Amino acid sequence: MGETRLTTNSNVTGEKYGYFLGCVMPAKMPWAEKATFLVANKLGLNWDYMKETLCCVRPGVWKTLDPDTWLTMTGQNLALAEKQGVTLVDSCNGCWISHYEALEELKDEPEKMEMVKEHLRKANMDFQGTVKVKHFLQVLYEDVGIEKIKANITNPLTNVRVMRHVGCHGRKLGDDVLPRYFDEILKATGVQLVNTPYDSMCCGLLVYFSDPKIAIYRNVFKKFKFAQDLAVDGIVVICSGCYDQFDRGVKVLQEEGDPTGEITEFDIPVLHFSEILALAMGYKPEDFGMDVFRTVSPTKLISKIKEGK
Amino acid sequence: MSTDKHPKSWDKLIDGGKKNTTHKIEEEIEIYPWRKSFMSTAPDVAKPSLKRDFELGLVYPITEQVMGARKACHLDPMPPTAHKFPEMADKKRAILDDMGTGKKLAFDTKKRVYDY
Repeated sequence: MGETRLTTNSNVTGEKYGYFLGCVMPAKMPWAEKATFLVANKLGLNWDYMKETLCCVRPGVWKTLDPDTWLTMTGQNLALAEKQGVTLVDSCNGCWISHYEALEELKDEPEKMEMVKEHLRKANMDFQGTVKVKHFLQVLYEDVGIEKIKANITNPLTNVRVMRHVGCHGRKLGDDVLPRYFDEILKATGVQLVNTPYDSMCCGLLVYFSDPKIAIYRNVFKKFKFAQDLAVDGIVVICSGCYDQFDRGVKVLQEEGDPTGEITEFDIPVLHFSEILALAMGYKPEDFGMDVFRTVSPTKLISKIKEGK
Repeated sequence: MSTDKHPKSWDKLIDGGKKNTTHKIEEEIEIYPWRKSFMSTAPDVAKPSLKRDFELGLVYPITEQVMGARKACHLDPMPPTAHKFPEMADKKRAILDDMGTGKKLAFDTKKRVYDY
């Protein structure tokens, strides 16, 4: 297969978007990567990969170790986006918070900006701080608009019941911004959102490094046990970091057993927001490899959608 | 199942950190029981992913298996990240060297081990 060219010609906003993949998406969620491109194309966005990207870098690790190193390494990605003339778009909350906070900090603190510029200059990179950073949800809700999204829903998923997990960093701008966009767009696809007491509980990714038992046997287990009891069709995420943690947690629970011994099989798939949108926009599961390379394959959901039950 | 034990995936990360560290704190405590123990800059559990930051510029590699999966999802097998453009990881290493990050982390960037 030749290189996939996924850029659209039409452009609803006049803005050139560079999709920042991060670490998890290209290595563990290729189906989500493809579905995101299908959605962006369907909506007529001027959308392509941001190229040559590195780790965001994850603030939970690097900012804790040394804020200046975090700022500089994040600055390397910001400088790349600037050079490529794109608005840097993240769908992973962890990548977004790193880029967003670093850019804010660099704009507010001229000495830090100079420090970063100096280090980048030595690596033959130029950085002015003019780049824009957006979350994919902002692109969809603020730039495209909910009406245009609704107009592109040709296959409403009214028979699909899901739990959703927007993720902690998705709350950075308040519940009225990204969490609301997340919910409204999901509702536009026709899915039934099931409310649970665990919707805003952390995925446990950062806790995992200090206390894996709490991260898995509390955060992941409680959420998935609830999902199992409710017999939902999946848990929808947008953040690749949260996906990575859920995937790791489910693997542990499958291989090493659950703490209560009540569940013999964990079969609730973790779904990416873009998969739901792509399906609702009329794409078929095979258009983006929905059942490829997953710990829990959404086989039941795929049959349900195909049979229209 | 008991939750007394850590998940195996976590133990693997700890092992990865220890394997890439020349200084064996537990062994030295046995040999020099009066010597005070100390905390390394990076905990063992974080060392493997920090090491990959130096080596790949990203946390996860693109293996043959991943390339196959990407192809099955109608994507280019190699994403247009630093995996495909390793010169960007070279630049990142140069920046980290310039900032003295390896030394601060006790990571020997030439031998690619934590050495202190």
